[in-house]
Amino acid sequence: MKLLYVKICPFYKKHPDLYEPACKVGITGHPEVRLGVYQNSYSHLNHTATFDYVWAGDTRNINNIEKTLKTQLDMSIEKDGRGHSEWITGSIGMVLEQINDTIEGYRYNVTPIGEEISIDNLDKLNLGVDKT
Amino acid sequence: MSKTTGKVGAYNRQTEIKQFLKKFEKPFDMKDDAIDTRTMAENYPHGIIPLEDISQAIDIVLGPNKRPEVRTFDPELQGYLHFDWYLWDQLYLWPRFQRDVAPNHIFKIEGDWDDTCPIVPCAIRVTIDDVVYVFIWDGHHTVQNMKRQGYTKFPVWFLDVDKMIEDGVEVPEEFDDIVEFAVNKAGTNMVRINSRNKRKLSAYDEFMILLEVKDSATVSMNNILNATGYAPKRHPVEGGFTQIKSGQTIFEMTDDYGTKGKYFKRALAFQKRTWPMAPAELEVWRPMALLYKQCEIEGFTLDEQFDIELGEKLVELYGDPSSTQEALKELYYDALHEQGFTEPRIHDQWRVYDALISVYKNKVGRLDLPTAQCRF
Repeated sequence: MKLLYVKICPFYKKHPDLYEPACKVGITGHPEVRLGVYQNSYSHLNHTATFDYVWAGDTRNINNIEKTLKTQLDMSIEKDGRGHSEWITGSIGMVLEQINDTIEGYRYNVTPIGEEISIDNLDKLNLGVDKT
Repeated sequence: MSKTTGKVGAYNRQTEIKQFLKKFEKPFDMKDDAIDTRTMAENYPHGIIPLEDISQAIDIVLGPNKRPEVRTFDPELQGYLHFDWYLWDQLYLWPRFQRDVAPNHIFKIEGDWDDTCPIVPCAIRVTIDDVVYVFIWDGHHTVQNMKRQGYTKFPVWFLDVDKMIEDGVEVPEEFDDIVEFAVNKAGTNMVRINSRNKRKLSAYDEFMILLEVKDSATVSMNNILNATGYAPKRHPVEGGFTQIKSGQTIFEMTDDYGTKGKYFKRALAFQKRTWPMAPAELEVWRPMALLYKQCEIEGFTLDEQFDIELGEKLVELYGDPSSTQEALKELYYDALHEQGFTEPRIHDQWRVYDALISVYKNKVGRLDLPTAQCRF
């Protein structure tokens, strides 16, 4: 089992009036590790690394939907510069709409989790992952 | 520019591309391997694009780090390459960089000859012992065709070595004289043009050109693509069809009446109905086309319900078309390793074909289907 996630830029999430809308679309089979990597850049006191939208599915479907989304969102994905890759600039609503349309139109076997996922509620995913 | 700092950041290609595309009503793909000029053309009267706009698009895709040093150069006045018409007895071949001449290649060109088609042969021009030699280094077959076609003058794009000598162009020390240097240039350029920097015409480009010239088979295949909701594309985007060569092969399969395209069309319609947004997936539509044909040969009737129930079952079991064909191939290989086959399939199209029959028989089973070569 793997996850497709959308992670909204924490600055924009906190102060949409001050910052540009941007998010990352990624996949992982080890959410605890990925969340840990994101958390590395921020103090837990100010920001808890979070997947804001999550879908679960088998490895094949998740890998393929990522490939499709990267193609579709190509124009919006920043590529140049270390660490820029995967950041999508533009409306979060547009990205979510694109993902939902793609799931429907390509008939991906993925299930929306329906809530934000952080290290605090990771057990809800029931992926059998080791959180330690 | 950042909202908070107001600073301009490092060059970001995607941002620059987006900015550039803002001036166009119809956006188009701008990638390293292709700027989609067909779509870009829809922004211009008569679909004709100024080269300057394409040049700007290229600069943006390549970025400032790949931009050559800015200079102005008037090749007509400052360069040594010129065009002229020559008489037959002024033209020569120097086998140092043209090792042979192929009569059968000339005959091949002749079969497709048209006076509007020849490109301008390339040469070096140099005077040796008061004789002006014009050595053809590219297009020497074409120039022979021109002769056979009765041409009285021959167009030549030539490097003027005499002028280089006159101007005292410095000869690199590895060459004995400027003629050696020019020969080296001609040989290097020949490899550059004919091999190293040759961009092969892709199947997609060939298809689109044939479509423009209204080649009947291509038009017919394209009509089928359009009728089933697909369009030929270079990249696998939504509703795109990229497998041109395989498409042509399956399109050519005829029914008992000699009609082409029947199985191709139904296979694409099956995919579109099942996965409306996805680009055409080769190892889904191709084995389906083979299945439709085999059913017809063996006398099995596949009604519309067959397409619906098989499609729904595949979605339920495997999801999108890429995952589906990967899973079907995996089913085949699992069976191969577990039970073994006396005649294993050697091509994916037949592995998926066998797996499709297996899945339908085991999971739906309403209709009889041909017997798969590898059963599981």
